[in-house]
Amino acid sequence: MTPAAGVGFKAKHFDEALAAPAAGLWFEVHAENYMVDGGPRLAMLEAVRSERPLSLHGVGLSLAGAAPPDEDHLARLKRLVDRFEPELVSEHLAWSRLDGRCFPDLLPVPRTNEVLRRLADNVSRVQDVLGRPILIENPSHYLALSDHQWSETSFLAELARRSGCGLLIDVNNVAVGSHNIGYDPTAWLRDIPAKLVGEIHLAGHSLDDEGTLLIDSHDQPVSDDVWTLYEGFIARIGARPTLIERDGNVPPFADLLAEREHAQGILDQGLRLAA
Amino acid sequence: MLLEFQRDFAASIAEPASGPISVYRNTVVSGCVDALRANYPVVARLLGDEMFDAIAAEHAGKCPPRQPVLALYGSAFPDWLAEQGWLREVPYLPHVARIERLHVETLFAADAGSLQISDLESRSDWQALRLNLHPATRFAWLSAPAMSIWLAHRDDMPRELEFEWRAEGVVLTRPFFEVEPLRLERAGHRFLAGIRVGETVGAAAISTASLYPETDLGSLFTSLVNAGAFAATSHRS
Repeated sequence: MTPAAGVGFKAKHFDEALAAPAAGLWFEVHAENYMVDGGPRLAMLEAVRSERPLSLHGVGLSLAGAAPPDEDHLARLKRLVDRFEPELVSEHLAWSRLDGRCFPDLLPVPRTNEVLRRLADNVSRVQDVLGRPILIENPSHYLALSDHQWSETSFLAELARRSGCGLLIDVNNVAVGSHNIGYDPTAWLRDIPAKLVGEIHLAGHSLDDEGTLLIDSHDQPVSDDVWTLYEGFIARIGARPTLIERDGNVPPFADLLAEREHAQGILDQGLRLAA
Repeated sequence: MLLEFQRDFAASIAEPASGPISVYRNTVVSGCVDALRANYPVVARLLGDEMFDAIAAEHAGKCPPRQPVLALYGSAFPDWLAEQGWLREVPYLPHVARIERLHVETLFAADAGSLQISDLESRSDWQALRLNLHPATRFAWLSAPAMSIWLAHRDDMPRELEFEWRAEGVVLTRPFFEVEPLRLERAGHRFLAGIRVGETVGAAAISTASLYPETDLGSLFTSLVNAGAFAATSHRS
């Protein structure tokens, strides 16, 4: 994918999304929302795909769990990838499945050698089945786990080295985590090897009810601090496909497109710097 | 070690918590509740948001998702509702939920062409003709006027309801991309049940006519074909 900015696709924006003239615009969807046999939802995605590049973002493979990826789920992902031929396929450094039950969340793990081995094996299994590399997204943090053996950035880089995957860097997750458990987000982003980054996510966050934790809520516009981190990151690593994510309080499509144009402006600057 | 960590973590978010753990717990619970609300919008409207959220959260605790595809989550909800004691005051609710579950199944079923009336023009061998239901066709017989209640509450502005308290049948089809609901009488239900188990059109019609002699089988069959209830590939035997 040429490094342009995209928007998370929402069914209610279908007509405007198809009609939008923006050059380079692409769309991302959660793969699990389309793991059904047929019907209007898949037809809608076909129409989007016929006009624009697509990115499939998985939330359910539970790659950081102790078990290998569920084969049925992986087969469903494979069918989607074969049918829609997305430009990018990504998943999370998280787990969401345990003892036969699924959690609709991205749950954390300590960054230990054992988890790294498990993750690298699981990512490799997915890539073998799909026949292509995937991108792994850094999680947002709410809880300071005590058993880490790796820093997060070196853990991500080592996972990429062992499995051959790329990284999806969610700048909002970096900002949220730095506020919640205390680290320097600028230094965090500086430690990510540029060549591993295949995609960037931008989203909004909100403060929890107690006023202490930032929540990766995807229900607000991208915040100023995230834009600043993003601009610095692009200036260092160059332009990368960048997604505006929005899942709650979804505004008119034009508002998302305006945020997307802002990201595109920063990417264009990055491209000029590289030229 | 990792498995142990996961089990400890799952146990920690299984109960109400505060601080960071509550963020995970809230996300898990609201993910399930939102999925149930998306799949049972009329039940949610009948109960009101606050009550629905509480009931959905309780259901999610008892019957958590087994698959990460939340579009299909909640298959156990109608039967679970039927087991709840407080429901004696709203006995139609599990039946409305059953219709909503069929609606989800119809919406996401495989795509296929529908049998057209014109496909049958030259046929007269009804005793040999077997049809397949369209993959999206779902039907049920409900011991409450659940279809009337469901139809009246599909929009945000519920209509004034006047109905008899009687059992009702429903058939849902999806000939193109929209789910088409149709009322079903006992005869129609008997006929479709026969087709589903592989009876020929002729055999299903004879059985239906003997049970419900007042039924106009020609118009029943035509209305089911026109609704897209049967799959286009018509020969099963």
